[in-house]
Order: sequence, then C-alpha cells, then structure tokens
Amino acid sequence: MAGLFFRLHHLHHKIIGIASAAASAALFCSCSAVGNTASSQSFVFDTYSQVTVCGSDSEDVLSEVESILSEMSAGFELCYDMTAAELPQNRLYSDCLSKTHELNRRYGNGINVFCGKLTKLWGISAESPKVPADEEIAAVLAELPDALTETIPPGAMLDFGAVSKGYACDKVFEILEKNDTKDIDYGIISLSSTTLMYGKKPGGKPFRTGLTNPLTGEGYAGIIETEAAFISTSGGYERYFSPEGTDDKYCHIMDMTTGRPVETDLASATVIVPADVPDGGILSDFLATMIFSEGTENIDKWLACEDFRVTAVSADGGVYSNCEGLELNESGGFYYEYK
Amino acid sequence: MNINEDRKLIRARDIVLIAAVLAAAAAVYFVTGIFSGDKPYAVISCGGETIAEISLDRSGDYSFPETGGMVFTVENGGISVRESGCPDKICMRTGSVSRAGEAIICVPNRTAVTVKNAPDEDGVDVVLR
Repeated sequence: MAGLFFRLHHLHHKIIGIASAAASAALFCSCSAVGNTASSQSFVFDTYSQVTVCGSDSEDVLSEVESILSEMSAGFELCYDMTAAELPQNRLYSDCLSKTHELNRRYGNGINVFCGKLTKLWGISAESPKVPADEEIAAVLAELPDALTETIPPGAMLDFGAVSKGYACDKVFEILEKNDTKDIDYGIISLSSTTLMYGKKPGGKPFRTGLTNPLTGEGYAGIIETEAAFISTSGGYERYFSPEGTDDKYCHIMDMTTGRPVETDLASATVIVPADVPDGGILSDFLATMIFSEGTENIDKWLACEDFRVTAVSADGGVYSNCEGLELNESGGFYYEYK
Repeated sequence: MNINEDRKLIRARDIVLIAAVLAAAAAVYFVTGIFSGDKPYAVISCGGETIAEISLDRSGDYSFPETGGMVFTVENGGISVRESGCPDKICMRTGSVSRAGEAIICVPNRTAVTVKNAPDEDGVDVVLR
C-alpha cells in the first residue's frame, strides 16, 4: 500500500515532470536564442539605429559595435559646428575624405563633402530651416571648394552626411570580420538609410529588407531579399522642408551646381552592394545619393553596372530595378518601368 | 478488495488534484493574460528607456511627460504621432504604423515607437528609410 502510494506519487511527479520539462524546454529554447542574440537601439548619426548580433559572443561584439558607432557619430557631428581648422585632428575625417575622393574619381563627382556651409545655410535637417536669398547662396557657392580638393581648406565646413553611415557600416564590418574567431552567425546593423546585413541567417534564409514607400512614407514599395550586403537608400520623402503656407518641398540633398536642393524625378534610389566588396558600405551610400540626384535620365547607366544592384522608384511609382530578389508592392501602385 | 481498489492508477483524490492544477493554470491564464501574446501593442521609448506600452486595440490619445508635447493616437489598430513640438515633424509624417517591426522615430525628441506582437506577414528583417 505504501509502495503503491509512492508509485502514484511518482506518477504525479512524472506528470508534473513532463509538463515542467516541456515548459523548461520551451524556456530553454527561447533563452538560448535570446542568449545568442544581442540587440540594442540608439540615436546615432542623427537617426535611430538598431543593431542585432547573433552568435555565441554576441554581447561582447555588440558592445564593441555600439562603441565604434557612437564614437564615429560624435566625430561626424562635430563637423556641423566647426570649420575644418577648428576640428580636432582625427583620422576619421581624412580617411572618410580619401575614400569619398576615390569614389568621386571612379563614378564622377557625386558628393562634395566640403559643402557644410551650404548645408548650414539651408538648415534643412536643423532647428529652423529657411530658403536663403539668392545672394547668400551665390556667396557660399563662390567659396565652395572643388569636390576633389586634396588638402582640407581650413575655412571650409565638412559635411559627410552623404557617406558617413555607409563608412560607419564598413568599420562595423571590419569589427565583425576581425571577430570571426568569436563565432558571429549574423548581424543586422541598421542606421535607417544604410544597413549592413552580415553573415548567414539560420537555415540559409535570405535577409529581407523593406523599402519604405517613398510616395506616402507608409508601408513598403517592395521587399528585397539578399545575401549578406550593404544596402543604402536615398530619397526626399522624409527629410525635407516646406516653408509655412506653401506646398513647396525642399529635400535635404543639395545640388552643388545650383546651391539648392536637388530637383529629381526619382522619389528614392536604393543600392545593394554584396558584403564581400571592400568598402561596400560607403559605396552603397555614395551611389544611392548620386543616383537619386541624377534622376531617371541617367538610370540606364547605373542599371548596366555589374558591381552593385539598383532599385529606383520614380515620383509616379514606376520602378527601375535590376534586383533579382525584389518583391514589388504592385497592389500599392508600384509597377516596373525596367526589370 | 481493499488492495484492488488501491491498485487503481488514478484515484478520485488525484482527479481532484489534477482538476485543481488545471483550474489554477486557467486562472493564471485569464487573470494575468500571460499568454495573450497575440495582441499587438506599441512600445514607446525615450532615450532608449521604455516609458510605456500601449495596446493597439485601445483607441485614444496618449501623451507622456518624458516625450514633451508629443501626442500619440491609437486608432484602427495602428498608432501615429498626431502632434509633436519637434522642428522637422518627420514623426508626424510617418503616419500610422501597425505591422511588426514598423516604427516611428523622432530624433529631436529621442523617441521611438515600435510595434510588437503584430502578425508579421512580410517577415522583414529591417526597414530601410
């Protein structure tokens, strides 16, 4: 009798045991997944960044990534308030400048990082944007150094806005590569308009990137599936300025020939560079801005390039793309102009 | 006889015990809503700290001391920023978000609104904007 009672008790233990084993298995799975995945959010590069790292040493690598991002962000931010001569000696500026020069030589002068005074004059991403007088614009343009100027003119103000996020993603890529002994499976580093997709997702699944609908700012124009890559987008739909009482829109990307915001018939341009291309981050950032600024007129030239992929959306929803993994949001009014 | 009765695998009092355990579990389920993880909600964070979680099925306007003059509106299962004192108004232009992973960001106010628990039909890893 006592033995039987014991057995019944044992059965209870068993039932409870099975239930708790199931529960703890479930807990263990989510814990181990959570334990391997470390993520964080912060406001750097004048935007919202999200970093996710998955692997056995994810916490260590994450904090390393976070600290380099905030360090670089602080460095680039100083440029908004200081002339080149006032800036502290920092390899960041000279390195980013020489990489931009290299791209300007290869693809034509797309980005002039000496345009800080022009950016400041308009102040489109700043507290109080305004449309400057023509004379003010002319005065700044007259002093604007050539894009390929080698030595930084002391009086110039630097603006790395068009390339800094891509450059930062390259530096993060270097950290992740350096840490390959630390077993990082994959990482997603999102600086809003530039993202690094690193490594391989579980089961070899592709990375899926949603391209914001540039016509409304809500939902997606499409979703792109890729392997590890740097992806950058450029558009006038988010950062722009409308003077009160007008319907005019001034986007934050400047045309160095007119000293005014670019006039383009594109709503956005997205560039994908495979992660194994050296300095692919700055390349994707640079090209996204350049392709967006040039509009549909030059799009064929870019679509013919083989080192990177392009998806450009025109102001009426026409899409020019040579991306294989693009799922277009056709019910949202987007259609192929070029595929 | 007695011995036979004792050999039953489960006796009445065991059934009572099992029923009690199930009842307790059901109570936990309904009272705490611990498994009601299928309801979408928005997490509002400021400077990286979570300051509120709002269920997306509770329509109404919300504001918090931490986020200054921002007014968050929940309606039709989505959340948007209706008012903000920031200069660029990017947060207001973002419109309503309701899908998993979607977010509204206000850099000047250091505020992020992210959607959790919504059905993730698109399964995107990241949104480029």
